[in-house]
Amino acid sequence: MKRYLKLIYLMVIMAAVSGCEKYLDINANPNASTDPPIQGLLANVTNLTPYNVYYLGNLTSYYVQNLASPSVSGTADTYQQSDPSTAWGSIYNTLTDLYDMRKAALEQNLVAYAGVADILTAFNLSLASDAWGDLPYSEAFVGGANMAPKYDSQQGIYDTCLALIGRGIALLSQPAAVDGMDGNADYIHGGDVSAWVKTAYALKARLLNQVSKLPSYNASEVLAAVNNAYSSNSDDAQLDAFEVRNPWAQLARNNANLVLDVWLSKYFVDATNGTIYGVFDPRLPEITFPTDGGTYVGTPNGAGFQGVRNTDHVQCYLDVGKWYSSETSPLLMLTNAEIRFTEAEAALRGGQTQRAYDAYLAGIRAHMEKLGVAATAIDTYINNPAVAVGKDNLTLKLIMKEKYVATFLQPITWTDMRRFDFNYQGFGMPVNATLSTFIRRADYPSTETSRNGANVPAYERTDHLWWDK
Amino acid sequence: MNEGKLRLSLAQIGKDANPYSTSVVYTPTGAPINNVVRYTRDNAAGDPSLKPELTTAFEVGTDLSFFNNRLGLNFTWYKSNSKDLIMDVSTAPGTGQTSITLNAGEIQNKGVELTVSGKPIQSGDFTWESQINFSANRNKVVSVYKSLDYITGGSSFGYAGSGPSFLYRPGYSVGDIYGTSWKRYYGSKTPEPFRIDKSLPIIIGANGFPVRETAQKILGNSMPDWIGSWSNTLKYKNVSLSFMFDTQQGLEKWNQLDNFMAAFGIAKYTEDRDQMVVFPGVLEDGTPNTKSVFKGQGMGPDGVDYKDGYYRAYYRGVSENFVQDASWIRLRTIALSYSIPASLLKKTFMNNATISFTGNNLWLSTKYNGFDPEASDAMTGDLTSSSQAGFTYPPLRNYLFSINITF
Repeated sequence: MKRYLKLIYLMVIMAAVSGCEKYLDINANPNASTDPPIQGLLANVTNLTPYNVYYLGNLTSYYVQNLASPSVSGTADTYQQSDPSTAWGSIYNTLTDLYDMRKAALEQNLVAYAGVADILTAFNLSLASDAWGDLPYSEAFVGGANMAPKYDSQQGIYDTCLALIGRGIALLSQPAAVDGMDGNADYIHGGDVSAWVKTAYALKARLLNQVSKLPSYNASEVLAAVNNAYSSNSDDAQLDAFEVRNPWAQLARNNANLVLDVWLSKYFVDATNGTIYGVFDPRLPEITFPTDGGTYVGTPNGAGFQGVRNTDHVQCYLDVGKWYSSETSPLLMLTNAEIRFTEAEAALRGGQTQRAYDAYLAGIRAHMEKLGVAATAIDTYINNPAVAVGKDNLTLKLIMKEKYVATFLQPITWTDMRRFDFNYQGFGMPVNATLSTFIRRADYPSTETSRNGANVPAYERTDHLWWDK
Repeated sequence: MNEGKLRLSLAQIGKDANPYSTSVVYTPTGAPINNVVRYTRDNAAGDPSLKPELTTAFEVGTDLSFFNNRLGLNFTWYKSNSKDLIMDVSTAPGTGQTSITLNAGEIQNKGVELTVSGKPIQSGDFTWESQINFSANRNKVVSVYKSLDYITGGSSFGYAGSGPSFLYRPGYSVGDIYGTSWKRYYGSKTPEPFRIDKSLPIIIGANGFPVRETAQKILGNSMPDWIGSWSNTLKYKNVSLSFMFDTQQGLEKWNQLDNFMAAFGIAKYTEDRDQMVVFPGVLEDGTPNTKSVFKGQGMGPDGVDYKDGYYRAYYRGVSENFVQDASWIRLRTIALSYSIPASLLKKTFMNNATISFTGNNLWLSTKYNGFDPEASDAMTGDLTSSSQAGFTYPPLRNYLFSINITF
């Protein structure tokens, strides 16, 4: 009997082996999938989008003097030509996956995924266009079918973003969208559709407010979007789950291990330690430790390290464990604090001074609470006469001064500074600047200039983007 | 003449792609977060309509030998066309991929190969054998994929936008190095779109410094005009001396190390940073430049702040400065050996014993200012590896002393 059993086993195995053959198409890669699992795509894009804010922020933070290089004449500090291939590559990787995710979602009639794809596409596109202006979009993402996608105009991209937001909100408002996503795969809002709608309106408010230099600016439209956007810090679009740690924390760790990075700019420190505005901002101790001398000192952009030995702690940097750079700190994408300042700006421009003043104070409070500043310290700061100026003395300059701190490390600060022509108190050109004026746009990456060069527009880093004219 | 042969051959060779080069796939990325595996469209894509690459080669040759085989001559002329070349074409991220496997185009190679070998001296105990090899190849990109103007075969890093590209552009050659250059004054002449006329004067800006041309143009070609070698063996009784010279002539390479050295003021030529100079060249309107400027950093002796200085602000961003003549000639190997006469070995266990002394890479002559124009740090297989040099250890110079015994 045993002998027969063995034979039967052998036959079963052989049948199984030969049975496999018809499933083996020699041209199909057994180690990869040709059908994207939609949860997997959602997980990837909700992870990458906040990272894209970080990648670009790691460039723009030097332009806006949040950060400064410890080396003399840092590339970004002094507006030298840079090659932002990492930021661009990651944004286009995200946009490609969003393109596929939307396509797959519509094929499978998963409206929630399609709606989120629209909103995140608008977010990534506007993020990129604020840095680069014209971008490949309408002819992009089709691989070999178009190896040289043309660039859409900046204004076209802007209009596309608003259209995508509208379409995304409409999709997410369908009854089928509710609970229509895998919450575990949505690292930003955990599958909460109403939270995504708020983020969509928050982005819409940001974009509508961005054209403040143009005659088409409409304060009441901005405020209408604000009304549907965030109302508390718990609404913030941010990334909490990391493969290893928050990427700013990684840079802070590198710095602690003497791969010098993420040093605070003299301008940012002076704007918060009382030097420029005469009031000490309690957020500064949440961001960095004081120097050996017990004071807060920043590095002048372009001038580099100011001490004798670079192991002396005579200038401040993002420290491991501080709010923006601790292992588990959230990586911010779009926040309630920012939207409060957007509200304040639009209300003030629209003549609603009380609303503007309330939003201005609410924005400061929201950001301070986010950073865990003690309630008494918040009140002390907000009640300081330099801050609590009263609704009739509120100015755009004051709003932007506070927004500058509240959007620390975020690329939106650069957009804001360009809108206000860098007219911030005490803000000046970096030492050893390679341009004669402030930087107005980023360089296209070498991956575009060398591989799609015919379509890359000519530009100077001093060119104003369309909304900056 | 002892022998004469005429060779004619026509051959066609097909080449297949790597497996799975025909599909667009999605791959897991990173470690799972919240137990969810993240998927992304793979950066490398295939082409569903990929065809095999086909090379058609035609060659004519002759083998001749004269004077009782003391002089041999071997000559070949060939022409080969590779159609539907299978390449991983680097694409702009805007396409959704960074590389697509394609039938990317057609390349033509033509050239000659010549070998002359002989025994110029053969008298009694003394013989001299010698061989000369010579080959020259010319290539041309005939066409590239569909609508593309060119295909990027590789690129390299350089400071301040000086990183060169290595492109396949129809009508031009494989190995062309494209990069930034000093702007030339063309006056009424029309510039060629992808070449620079180095005989023309450089344009100097109003600030007294030369002006950079940012559009990438051809600065050189990394494929040699010709390759040669000369090997010799001289024998006198039991002593034998052999040596071989190698050369490659008429080629340029991207000297990445020099770009770094210039950027950080380490290169010897940057020592003139304490000088005031008038850059030779003309202003935009064609009149000669007369403005004297400081080459160093910071405050110049004329009281003007020169900030980052000439080498960082200008020189390092111009690829032309680092695309250098990489022609070379070297003594590849030399070996002296002595065979112990059989009569001395008769009573020992040995049948044969040879003592030899060999030196490799003993002498190099080149205008290239890096370590060695042959040493590349790039991965082999794409155009980058053959188009740049530096940033790695040069080939070793070694000496070998050896004893060979057979028993």
